[in-house]
Amino acid sequence: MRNEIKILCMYDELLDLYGDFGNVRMIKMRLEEMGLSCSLVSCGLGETPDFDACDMLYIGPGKGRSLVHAAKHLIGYAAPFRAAIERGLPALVTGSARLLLGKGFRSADGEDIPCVGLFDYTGYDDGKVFVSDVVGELLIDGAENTAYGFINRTAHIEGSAGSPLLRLKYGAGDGSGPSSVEGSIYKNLVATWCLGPLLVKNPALLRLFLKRLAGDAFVDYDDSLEKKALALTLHDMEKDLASR
Amino acid sequence: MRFTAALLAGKLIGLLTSFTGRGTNITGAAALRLCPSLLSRFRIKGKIIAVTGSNGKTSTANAVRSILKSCGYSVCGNYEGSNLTGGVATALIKASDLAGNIKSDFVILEVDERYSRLIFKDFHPDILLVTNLFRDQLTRNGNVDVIFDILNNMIHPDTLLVLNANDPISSRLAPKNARAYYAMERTPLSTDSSPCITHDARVCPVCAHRLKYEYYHYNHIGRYRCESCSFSQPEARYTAKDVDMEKGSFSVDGRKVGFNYKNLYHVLNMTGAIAACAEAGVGLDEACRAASEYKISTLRYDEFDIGGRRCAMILSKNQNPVSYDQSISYVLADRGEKCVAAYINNINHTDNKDTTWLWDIAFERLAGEVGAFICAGPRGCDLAVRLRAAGFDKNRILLCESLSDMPALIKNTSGAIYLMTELYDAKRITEAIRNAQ
Repeated sequence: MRNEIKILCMYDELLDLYGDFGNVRMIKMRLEEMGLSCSLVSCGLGETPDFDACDMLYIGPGKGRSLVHAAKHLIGYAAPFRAAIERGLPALVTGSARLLLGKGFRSADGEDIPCVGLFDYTGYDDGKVFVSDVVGELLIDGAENTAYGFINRTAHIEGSAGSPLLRLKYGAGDGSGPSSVEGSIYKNLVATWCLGPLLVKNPALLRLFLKRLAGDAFVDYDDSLEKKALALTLHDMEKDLASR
Repeated sequence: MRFTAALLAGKLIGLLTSFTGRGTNITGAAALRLCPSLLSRFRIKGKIIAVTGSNGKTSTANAVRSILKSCGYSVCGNYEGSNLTGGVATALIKASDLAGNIKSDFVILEVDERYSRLIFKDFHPDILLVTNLFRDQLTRNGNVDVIFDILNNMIHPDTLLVLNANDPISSRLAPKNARAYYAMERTPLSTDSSPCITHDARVCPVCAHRLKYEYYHYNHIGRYRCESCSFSQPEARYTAKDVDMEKGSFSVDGRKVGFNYKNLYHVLNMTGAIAACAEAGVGLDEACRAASEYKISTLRYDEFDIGGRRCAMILSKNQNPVSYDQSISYVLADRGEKCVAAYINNINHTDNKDTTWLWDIAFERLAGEVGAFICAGPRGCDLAVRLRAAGFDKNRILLCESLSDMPALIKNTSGAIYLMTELYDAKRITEAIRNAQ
């Protein structure tokens, strides 16, 4: 572990659609409570990402046209990006940024955009807003738990997304039809359509990321408030399902 | 025939629902079913001024109406947020005679930006005032680009646009249309960097490189230019200057305007209303004088007394972070002792449990500034988590799990009470707080 934990926030100014930057805020807050220093490094269009100089990578959801700009930039760094994920760089990719990880996607304007090809899927953006609450079991070592996420997207993916993040109890999964799984896990990368922000709504998952980032310096903390917020959400979801 | 039948039916339903106090939407919706082209069939004698945008539509449309009325013109239009197709139809039915003639000098229509393409399918406004475009109810509306495209496609080439030059997004609408820009000069409350999280124009809307700001009024509203391309703030015909929050006054081209709701976005919206009226032919002297008489609606903002304490209800829309950011600015303007209560519900039209939008609101600005923050509503605990991350002392975050606990919690606080709530929830939380008397 380094003295200072650096989180590389790719396209944080361009991909800034919804409140998912809360994921990074929460990581930073908890690391600082542990006495560790945490800095956020921004990388935008026209800039060179240094994956070797960071401890974690974050990419959040963006608007259709913004994603096209991001994809065209990221493809120039496809090899170092894939190498960083292969060697186990902790990474979180949420919402529409998932499109960037596949082989490519068709934009809402009909343009075919090649992407870094970490996963075999291809995506498309049909411009229609699709929302869903999602409840599922986290399929990740050390974080077995029921998770909640919220999906708000206009894009879809088709093809294999690797090992899933969630086995769904409720809500829309990957692919265009009904699916029982959602998200991808590969090495230390977690990718999902789920917003929430994901790590705030799911304290077990945040804990996992923090253990990976802090290593031996990890200090336990009180997250009873987050757990309570999740429990109340899951309780309300159960109530809704029972009344349907 | 269909039009006449629909109009008569609408008049009749309007008469019946006037006794129940309901029906701002259903009258028009029923008439539209009988005659789908109803909206384009009225014979409108005067000018149509439409107001749209993400935030401030209702108060800006009301300001336009108030200015024109004060200047002696006859006006009609939809009131208090009935801004979908049915609401517009209801207003026109009410204003029309039995032959379909609308004789008012002006028809003022507040129009939902998403429904604008349906409302203005077969007729168009003479003037369209766009207040701004922000992220707003993403689950329903889609993002800002989606709304921009909808507006761009619906704007008729003959419509005169009145646009906010301080907004890099909506100022780019329909570039071929005739337009008049309004803006606000730097004020004592404007800042060098944005104090907010929600900033929908961090990158240039033309070339996607970082957008530079000379100053911010709020969120992404300010003076901007792009260093990678030639995009910059357009020149404004109407500019608010000398903004004095203490006195509640500003000036447009040397003419003084007074205002009662002390918030920068309100000054900018007032300037937009003055600009629209001036473009509609009202003299600027008259428009500024009349604007000073306008008072913001108590449905949007209300004050009452709770056991000798001042309680201010500030309408704050769920899933609309800019609305909350503005409410926060209002609270911060009060330097005295104060507390805040907010009611956080599920998404009001789908019941989704999403709270992502709470992370787009800059609650950090309130940390250390309020004695207590009461978190109520089905997602109140999510707000409590958000406030902890925003740097609030945990002892100042009071979780209200049931509204019946509200009076006891209120009694544990001191100073003025600021209530942030959605229109749909305003009544129940206001009553809960009144019980603290």
